[in-house]
Amino acid sequence: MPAPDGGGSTEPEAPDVAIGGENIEGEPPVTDSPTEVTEEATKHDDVELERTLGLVGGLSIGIGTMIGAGIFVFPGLAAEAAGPAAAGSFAIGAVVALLVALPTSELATAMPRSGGGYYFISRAMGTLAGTVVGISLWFGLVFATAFYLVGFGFYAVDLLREIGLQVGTGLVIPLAVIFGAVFTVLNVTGTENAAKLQNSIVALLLGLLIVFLSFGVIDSLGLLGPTEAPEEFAPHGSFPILTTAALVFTSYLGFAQVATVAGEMQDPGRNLPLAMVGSVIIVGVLYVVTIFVATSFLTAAELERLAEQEMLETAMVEVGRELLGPIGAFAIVLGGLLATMSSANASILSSSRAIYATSRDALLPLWASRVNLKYGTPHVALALAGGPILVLTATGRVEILAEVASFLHLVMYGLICIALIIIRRNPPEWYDPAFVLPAGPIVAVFGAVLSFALIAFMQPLSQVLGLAFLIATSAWYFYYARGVSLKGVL
Amino acid sequence: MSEPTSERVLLPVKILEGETIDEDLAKLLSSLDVLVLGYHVVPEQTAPSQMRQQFETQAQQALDAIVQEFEDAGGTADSRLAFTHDADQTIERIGEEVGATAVAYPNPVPPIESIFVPVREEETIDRLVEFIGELRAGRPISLRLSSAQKEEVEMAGQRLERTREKLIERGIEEESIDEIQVDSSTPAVSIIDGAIAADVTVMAEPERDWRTFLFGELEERVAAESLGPVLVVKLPQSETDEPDDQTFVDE
Repeated sequence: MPAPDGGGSTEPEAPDVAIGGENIEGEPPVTDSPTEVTEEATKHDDVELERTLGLVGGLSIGIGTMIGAGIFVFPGLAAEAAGPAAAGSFAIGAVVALLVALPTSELATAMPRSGGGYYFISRAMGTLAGTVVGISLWFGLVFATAFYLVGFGFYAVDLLREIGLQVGTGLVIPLAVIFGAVFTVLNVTGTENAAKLQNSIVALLLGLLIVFLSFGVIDSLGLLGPTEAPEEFAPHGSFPILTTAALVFTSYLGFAQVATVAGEMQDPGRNLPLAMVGSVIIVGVLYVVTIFVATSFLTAAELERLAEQEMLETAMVEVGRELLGPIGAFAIVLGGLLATMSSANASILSSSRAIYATSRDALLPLWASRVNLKYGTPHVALALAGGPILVLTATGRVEILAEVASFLHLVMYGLICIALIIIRRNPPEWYDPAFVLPAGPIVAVFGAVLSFALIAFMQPLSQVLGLAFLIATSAWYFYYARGVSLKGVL
Repeated sequence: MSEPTSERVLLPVKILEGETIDEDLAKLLSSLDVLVLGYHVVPEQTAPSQMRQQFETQAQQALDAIVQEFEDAGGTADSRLAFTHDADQTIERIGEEVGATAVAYPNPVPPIESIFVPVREEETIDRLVEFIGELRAGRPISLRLSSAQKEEVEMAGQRLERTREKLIERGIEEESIDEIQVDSSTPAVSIIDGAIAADVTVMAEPERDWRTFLFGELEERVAAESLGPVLVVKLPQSETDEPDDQTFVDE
C-alpha cells in the first residue's frame, strides 16, 4: 500500500476521484466494480455475468451494422455526387474509421464494459463529456436506425416492383415506419435468439457479395467482352469526394457498436480489437470494390434516370440487373432487405445499451434502463429508442438522417481519441489494456483531427442539427447531472 | 468436515423462473457435496449486468432458500449466481471451475425408492458404481439396471452382470439391486422410456456425436421427458493432465 517515495521530483499523484455524487433526483451512479474479469465471465463478489459473444458474433455485429448502408444504400447517391471517384470517398472513410478503431480497441480491452465509447469518455474526461457523448450516442443510433429503415423502405418498394406491382416511391416511408414499429415491438417481446440469425444473414450477405463482386470485377476489367466507354473519374472535381466522404461515413458506424457490448465478449483482450479492426477492414475493402464495380455500370445517363425516379438508393439493383439479369436484380433486392434489416436491428439494440450505460451512471433516470421480468427485455430503453426512430423515419430525409448520425458518432470518435491521449498521459492504476496500440497517441491525434474535420464537409442543415444536439445535451448535464462524478474510476 | 466425499454435484436452477428444489431431492443428494448454480437466461436485447442490477437481490433470496433446503435435509450446499445469454455455456464453465463430477437436472421428485441406471459403455461402469455408492451412502434405495444399448443380448447381459458384481463389491446389498433389464432397443428410446418410469435416473455423460447435432444432448432430452431428476455423472478426462485419483480443490 505505501507509495514508494523515492520517485524523484514527481509531484504526488492525485488520488482518483471516486465515482459518486447524485443527479437532480438524488440518484447516485450504480457502482459495481467486478472483482475479476476472466475470458468467459465477469465476476463480482456473489454474482457472475457470462460472456457469450465470440469473435464471429463480434464481427457479425460490426459487419452486419455496416454493410446495409455502404453496399446497398449509398453507391447510387455517392456515384451521382462524385462519379467513380466515390471509391476515394469510401477509402477516406475507411482510413478515418481505422484510425478511430485502433485507439477504441485499446480502451475497450482496458474497460470491457457495456456502453463502449461513452464509457471510456466519461471515465477519462468526466461527466460533462460523458453526458454529451452518452446521449449523443443514443440519438446517433436513433438517426442511424431511421436511415436504415428508410433504406429498407426503398428496397421493399423495389421488391414490389420486381414482382410486378407498379407502386410509387410514396410507399417508401409508410413501409419503413410500419416495419420500424413492428421491429421495436418484436425487440420488446421476442426472446428468440436473433443473434444466431444475424450471423447467418451476415454470412449469406458476404457470400452473395463475393460472388457478385467477382463477376463485376471481371466484367468491368473487360475480360468478358468489350468495355463500356470509361466514365470520367471525377466528373465533378475533387471537392465532392470530400463531401461524399462525409455523407457515406454512416457506412462505418458499426465498429463502435461492437464496443457497446464489450461486457459480453469472450476473451475481450483478443476478440474486441480483432472484431473492431477486422470489421472495418473487411467492409472498407468491400465498399471500395463495390463502388468500382457499380460505377462501371452506372453511367451518368443511368444515374440521371434513377435520380428522376427517386430510386438512387436502390441503384445497386440496376447494377445487379446489368451483371446477372433478373436473377442478379432479385438477389440484390433480397440482400438489400436483409442488410438494412440487420443494420436497423443491431443499431436499435446498441441504442438501448447506450441508454442503459448512461442511466446506470445516473445521467438519465434509473427507470430508463428498467427490465421487465416477463420477457427480460429493457422495454423502457427500447421505447425511448423506438419512438424517436419512428418520428425521424417519417421525415424520409435519407441524407440528413445519415449525416446527423455520422455527426453525433464522429464527435464521440474524436473524443475517444482524446480520451486515449489523456489516459496515456496519466494512466490510472487500473489501466492495463490487453491490446496496446503502438504509437497510440500519434494515431489518436490523427484520428481525432480527421473525425472532426469530416464534420466540416457535411451539409449545413446536418451541422446545425448536430450542434443543436450537443448544446441540448450539455444543457441536460447542467440541469440534471451536474452533481455526478464519474472520472477516473473503472 | 463430517463425511468427506469426492463427489461434487452441480445443480443448475432457473432461479428467477420459480424453479425450486424438492425436499426429497435435497435428501437424496445430502450425502454429496452440492453446488447450487442459480442462473437466469437474459435475452440478447438486455445486458446481463442490466438484468443483474434489477434482479440480483430477488435471485439471491431464492438461491439462499434452496441452500437452506439442503441444510434442513441434513446436507450442505454452496451456491453460485449467474446471469447469462447462454445457459449451456454457464453450466459447463462453472462445472469445470468447481470440478463437478456430476450434473443434476432437478425435476420434481416422487418419494425416492429406486434409481434407474442405464449402463452403456464398459468404461463408465467404475465411475457409475463409485458415484452410486457415494450417493446411496448406505440408504435403502434400490437400483434398477438397464443395458440400454443396441447390441447382442448376451453381451448386454454380461456387462450388467459385471456392474452388479462391482456394486456388491462397493458394499451395496445384493437385495437392493432388484432388477436387471436387458433392453436392446435404440439407446435414446430405451433410456428415455426407463427414465420416465423412474424416481431418479443416474447416467454417465454420453459421448457427443452426430446425433447430438441432430437431436440435442441426450441428457437434456432425458431430463425433459422424465418426471424425476436426472443425475449425469461426468467421466474422468482420459489420459489428460487430470490426476487419476480424484482430488478436488475447494477454495
